Amino acid sequence: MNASSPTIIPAATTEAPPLPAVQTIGLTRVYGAMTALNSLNLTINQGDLFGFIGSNGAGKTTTLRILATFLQPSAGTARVLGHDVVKDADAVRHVIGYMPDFFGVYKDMEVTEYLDFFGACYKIPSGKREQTVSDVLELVGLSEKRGALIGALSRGMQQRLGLARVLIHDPKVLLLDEPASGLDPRARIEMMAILQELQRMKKTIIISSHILSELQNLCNRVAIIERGQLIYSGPVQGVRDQMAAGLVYWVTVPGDSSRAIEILQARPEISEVVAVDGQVKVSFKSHDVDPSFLPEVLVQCGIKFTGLWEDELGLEEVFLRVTKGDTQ
Amino acid sequence: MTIPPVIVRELRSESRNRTNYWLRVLGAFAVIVVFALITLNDRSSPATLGPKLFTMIHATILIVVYLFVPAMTADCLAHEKREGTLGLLLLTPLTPRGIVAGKSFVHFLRSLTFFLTALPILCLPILLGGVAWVDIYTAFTFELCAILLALSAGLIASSWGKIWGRTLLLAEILSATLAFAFGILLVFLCIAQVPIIGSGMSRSELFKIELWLVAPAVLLSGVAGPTGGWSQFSTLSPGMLHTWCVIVAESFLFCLGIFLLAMLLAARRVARSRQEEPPSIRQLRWQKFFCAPQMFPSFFNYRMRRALNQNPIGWLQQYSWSARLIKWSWCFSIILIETVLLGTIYFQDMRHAQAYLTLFLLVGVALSASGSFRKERETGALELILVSPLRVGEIIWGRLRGIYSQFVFAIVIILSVYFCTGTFFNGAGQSTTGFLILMSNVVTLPVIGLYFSLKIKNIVLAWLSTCFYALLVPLILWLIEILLHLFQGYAANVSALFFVSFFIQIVLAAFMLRRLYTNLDQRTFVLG
Repeated sequence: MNASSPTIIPAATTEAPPLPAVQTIGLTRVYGAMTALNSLNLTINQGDLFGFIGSNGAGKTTTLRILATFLQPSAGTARVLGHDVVKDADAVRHVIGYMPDFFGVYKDMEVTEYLDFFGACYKIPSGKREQTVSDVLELVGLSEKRGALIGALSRGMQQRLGLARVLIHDPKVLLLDEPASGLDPRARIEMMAILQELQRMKKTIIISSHILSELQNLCNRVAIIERGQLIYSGPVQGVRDQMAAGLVYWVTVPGDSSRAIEILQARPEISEVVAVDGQVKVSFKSHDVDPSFLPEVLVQCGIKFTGLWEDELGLEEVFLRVTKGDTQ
Repeated sequence: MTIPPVIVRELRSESRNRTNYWLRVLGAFAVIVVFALITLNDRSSPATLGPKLFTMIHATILIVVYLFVPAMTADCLAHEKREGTLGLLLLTPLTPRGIVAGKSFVHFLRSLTFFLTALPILCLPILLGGVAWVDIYTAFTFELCAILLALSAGLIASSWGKIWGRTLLLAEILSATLAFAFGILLVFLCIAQVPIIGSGMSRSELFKIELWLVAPAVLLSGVAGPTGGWSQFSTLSPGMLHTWCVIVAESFLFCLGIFLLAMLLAARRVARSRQEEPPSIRQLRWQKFFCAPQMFPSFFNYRMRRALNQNPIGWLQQYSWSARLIKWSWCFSIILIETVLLGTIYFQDMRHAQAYLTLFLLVGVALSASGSFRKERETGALELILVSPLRVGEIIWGRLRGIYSQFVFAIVIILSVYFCTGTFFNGAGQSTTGFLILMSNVVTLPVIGLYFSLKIKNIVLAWLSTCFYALLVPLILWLIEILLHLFQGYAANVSALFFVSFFIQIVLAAFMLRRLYTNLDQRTFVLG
């Protein structure tokens, strides 16, 4: 812009909503007589760490493959940062990093050779590639293995190498299919830490995984898919609230708990009180009840208790409740 | 030794393998082609034609067995190792010997069915007459021997390696070695037991001939030495016939022994593979010493970096030491063979040798092209390459470039010999056949092979399909040339035939290139 030209200030700005990182509308994929994906409507915002949950054969990998431009949808559209995955596949390939559920490595290559090769595939200039390779190796903690043959790396290291490959061209959207499967606990924790670090770097990350307890702590939003159809999509807490039948508290009463059960059962706000494994499970009639009266009543009646906590529905339990375990 | 579960499993698996059915069709087709070519060319009486047909068809079967049976067997144990199922089998009460015996039995059956498809054609020369019982006995025993030796080669190679390409190469080398050894064994048995061999050749005369040249000829003509043939049996005395039958039986026992030994060796390797260990430090050191560039490393690195920047897919065909080894091995082999040929054969006799050498090279090009995406498909790297911004055109061109660069020196050497020895310019119609096939196939074969490498999952079938399409057009034109010559007395214009062949092959290759592009663009190909 010319320095002397006047600055144009818009009269009234109505801020446009941020472009969704991924949007699918009526996405369908049919393999012969089998419908792998059935009219999937999904919106994932930029910066989300999005968990994609479903049984085996539910359609998770098919969705990720379509988003990665590897498969073409039978019907519907999918957009990644506004680019259509079919019509504008080249643009999509520049902004995504796809990590399938297998390693896809050349075992007779060295670590740097492998990354150099994919750097060249992503058309990173030769002069810049060496530094980029060093940076991604540093990020995934493989700097010490840069000269090693890939075949000699452990499974966890090969998984990290896969992640380094995904990051080589600095994509904005990461599509990770089972990134932690088959890893030992330490490698899994390290992988999750790397993903959190990537989220801090403003990447949109879509993870398909079976390890729901980890997704629960890692993701801010999840989608549950079964038989190719979307069952739920939204915040993790939202799905918990939806699925929880009512408010549930647990009370630890040392010794005999029968008197505590008798007192609590008399309260009109409480629907059920049962003793389970030496603890008392208190189910309220509604979510709207204020449970603060619970300790007061127990103290007033002279009943000692050593613990009191809310029963939070885990993602695994939510998943079991919303899905029927059907596969295709 | 528990064998039945292995046999049942293998039979079930093979019955679902469509390659078997195609291989049988191709085997029968090859025999029919040989039959057609001989009957069209030869107008002699049935009694003369019968033995000639019998010899040629059996020679074809021997070549097919020595070539394809090791290829079909080379992956039987290696595949289990790659998939990790061999370890699981060894955790059951199955023993290594049981596993190998079961697999050997099924692959023997598989080879036998391959042979049976040619049986109807084999009966025709017998019906024509002139074929004695001893001919039939010899031919079938030798074919059985060939199957046993080829199976031995495949089994040993499969137990030794894990990577399909390497086991295939090893199996073919072993098969060629065993076939050669069998030829030499026959010669020695003849020397030891028969005073006069073939048409008047004495034992002392035979000693004057270099055995390594005689052996393949003995093997392929089946019996009776380089100048003999099947008809020679009719001239032998009853005593000699008996001796010959004993020699054939002895050679079969020898092959059976080799086969049993190969099974034991393979079982031993399988037992050892239970505890698979990573390469030792010494092995790695040796590998680094022999397989890394020792001279001008900076120049080498510069060249490799340039290749990577130009086209990463082309670079994939060059980066590994095994790829470089294959490239220079081809070059070295062609130089060696050409040197031997030039040293032993007069220039005017070079044409046939050159044609066979060309065919040998083309079979190698077809194998390289039809297996070129195999590694990427197996590891899943192809999926990763296809989600990168590389265009389909770049992927195809990169691969073609890689294949051409692997064979360019070998092709240049053969072409140079064609020109230097004047085999191309000496005017005789058939002398140019090899050159014409080379020229049109050098351009089209990599494209056809690349198409089939994505179209067909099984590499043997992909390779055979490539060879079939690449040789189909020259073969049809050759038949036309023969037919014109026979029925019209018209000597075909070789240059015109070449251009027609070249044009048809270019059109065929262009069509396949288009299909390859579409398949890659729409990702419609088999994975895994």
